[in-house]
Amino acid sequence: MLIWDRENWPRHRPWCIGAAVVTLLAIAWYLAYGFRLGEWTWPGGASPPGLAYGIFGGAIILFEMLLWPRKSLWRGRRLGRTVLWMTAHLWLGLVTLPILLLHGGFHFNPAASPLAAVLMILLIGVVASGVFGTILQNIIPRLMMENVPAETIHSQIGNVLEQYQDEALRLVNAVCGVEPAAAEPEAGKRLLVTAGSAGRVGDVRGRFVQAGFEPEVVAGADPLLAFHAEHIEPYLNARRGAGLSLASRTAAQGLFAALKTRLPNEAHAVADRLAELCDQRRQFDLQRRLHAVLHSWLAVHVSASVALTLLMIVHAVLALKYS
Amino acid sequence: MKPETSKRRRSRIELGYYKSGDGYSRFRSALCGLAIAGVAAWTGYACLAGGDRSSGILREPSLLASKGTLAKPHAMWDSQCSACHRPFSPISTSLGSERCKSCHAGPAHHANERKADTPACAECHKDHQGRDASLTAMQDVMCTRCHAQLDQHAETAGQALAIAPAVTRFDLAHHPEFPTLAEETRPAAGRVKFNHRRHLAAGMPAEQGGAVLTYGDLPESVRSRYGFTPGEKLDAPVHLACASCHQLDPAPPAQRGHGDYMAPIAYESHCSACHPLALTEQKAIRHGLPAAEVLADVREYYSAQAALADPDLLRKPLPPARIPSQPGLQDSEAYSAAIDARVLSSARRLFGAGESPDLRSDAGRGGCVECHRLKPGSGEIVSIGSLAGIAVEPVAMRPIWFAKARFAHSAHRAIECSDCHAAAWESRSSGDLNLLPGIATCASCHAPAATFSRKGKAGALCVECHRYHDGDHPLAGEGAPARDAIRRFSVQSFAEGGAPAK
Repeated sequence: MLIWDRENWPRHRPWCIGAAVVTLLAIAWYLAYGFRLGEWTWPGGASPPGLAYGIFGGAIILFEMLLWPRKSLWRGRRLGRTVLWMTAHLWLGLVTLPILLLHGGFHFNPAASPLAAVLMILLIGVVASGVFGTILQNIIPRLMMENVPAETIHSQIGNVLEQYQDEALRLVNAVCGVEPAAAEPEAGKRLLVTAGSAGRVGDVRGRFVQAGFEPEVVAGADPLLAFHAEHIEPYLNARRGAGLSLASRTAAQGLFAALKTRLPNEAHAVADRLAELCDQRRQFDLQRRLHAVLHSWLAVHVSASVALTLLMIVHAVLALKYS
Repeated sequence: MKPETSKRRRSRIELGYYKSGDGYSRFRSALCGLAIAGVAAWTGYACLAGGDRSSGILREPSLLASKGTLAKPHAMWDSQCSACHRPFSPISTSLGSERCKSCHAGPAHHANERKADTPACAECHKDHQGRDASLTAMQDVMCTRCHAQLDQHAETAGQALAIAPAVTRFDLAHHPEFPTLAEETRPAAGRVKFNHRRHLAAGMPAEQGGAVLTYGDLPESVRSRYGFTPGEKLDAPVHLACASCHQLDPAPPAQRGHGDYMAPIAYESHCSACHPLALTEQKAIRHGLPAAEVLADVREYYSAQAALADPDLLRKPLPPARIPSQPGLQDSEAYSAAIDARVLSSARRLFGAGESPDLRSDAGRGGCVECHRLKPGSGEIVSIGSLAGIAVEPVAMRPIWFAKARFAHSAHRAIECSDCHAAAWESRSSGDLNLLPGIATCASCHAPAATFSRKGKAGALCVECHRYHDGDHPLAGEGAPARDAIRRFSVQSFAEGGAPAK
């Protein structure tokens, strides 16, 4: 949902202008009503503008919450373009803040009214987290695109790393002449001869076989075994790569360069491949961090939105009952 | 080695990966569950805590619904919204005012008030402003929205308005002069002759000169009340102060606030020490009697004196008509004539001599007409027969001059009397209505903030002096019948804001 982008801004511009106009009109009506008797009197939530803003803001909140079932329950059904939904979600969400602040009369004192204060705080939290998330959404994807060219699906990082571990072990064993039986896979793990995940084509289930090369045994490639055991396997196997010898790209380049000096030329291709696997591991680590930043705010945003919506309903019922 | 292709990379991904969430989505779901549980717990506690479930009353709605604590008079219903609020009926409407009227009669402002302009109770009386908030203090706009153009808010168009048609704030330009001082609305002054200037002067001498009243001329029992201090000489002139006669009334008229107004001047309390109404040294006239009763009292006195002088007088017959041959009648007629002469003389001194130049005549000071006026038609006192027409005009002094505004002397007791009643020191007649302060005097302190700086200025809201309900008796105090038709509740019903007792 890039906003600060020349290509995307024309799509956001009418929404931005509309939100600004709605906000200014709301403020104008609020002020006009407050001064209607000559002196300023705070319009309450049940006054004409207060009630209108409450209904309008509540309707927006309900629309904003529809994003959740649209994504989770109605997946696959075409209910309008996702871009349109997100644009509306963004700008209408921003409009709710001034609208509902006017509706609530800027009540923040929990001693006076705990529910009103909690609603205000939740509203600010939701909008602030949403704005924060939007800013992140405009920055981090570009960072990922530039710094994580080997990006994979976040939830599959662990799966892919396991496959990298298998491939690295297979390559090292093949080059060093170690029998594949010595690396008999444990129950539940994939066979070394395959490098793909379980898949299905029609009624056929199986695993995709990697279309790669099978390296031949190279004499004098024994240092590779030790290097793999000392550096590569711990790094590819570690839950967190930080702090390990291959975590730094510069250090890894140095280590692999030193390894190559001890290997025959025929084994250098395997070393390069192993270096590539480690580099992808580093990218996955960066991807995880960026993913955490990019998505952690959503936990606050969604949970606060849920609380806000439920309390809004409680507030609406009680306000109408005891207005 | 060949670089890894996208197809190869794609092949590493499990199909159906999207069906199971990652750690972030699980954490998100957990937080949402926590939020739902928190809202449910808070709402449930608010609805059920300490409550009577059978009655369905929210015992702790202040945790959810309250806009703020209630003022002290309503504090006992802080947790009972239904005591004042009809469910789903806005309180700022006429229907919403029904609960208010279960305790408060809220009489109409004026009969001619346009019904559409009659506000609901909660439009003016806004609660939920805290324990110490006033339920009666409100901004002027609640009054001026009608009083700024009063003719547009009268039910009967064109009906003459008794008060100013346009009042917007308390200053000389936007509020009329007080009716007691304005030419066109000035009421009749009290009918008593009183010279404030003379009474406030030391010794109270007449303007054309004369004797000075000293403390020695006063009864010992009242000297201290009129300013005599121990050690002072008895020949010192009597010097009255305002408080010598004017004291705050602990039992005010019309059930207004205690200490707000001055007690009415009573002859027996405030005048008799200097104006004894002594007919003779042995006979004093009772104050307050009609003229006919006074004269009858005088005749009775002199008849008694005659009988005391001649006890045989009572044994002499008094035929209805004069019989020349009967002996002793001449004596009876002589006594009658003498009594008539005495009565006539007393009547002249009490009712016919006008203002006595010398307050301290041997027989008394000035008589009734020194302070009172005779009714028109009383006529000249020329004979006994002419006394039948003598009648004293009632004083008709108003206990409260500002009938439609509230004033509390007790709140102003730190102010010198002369600051507001400066004219009293020059007033020679009680008919001087400038003895009362005008709007300029009040506005010197009670000014809108925009006119003067806030520092040191008193309140200038409409409600500072005026009230809305019951336009005919707007300032009746608590408990006055004209103010509230109080309904009675049982204790339990009252605590629950319920129905009146049968």
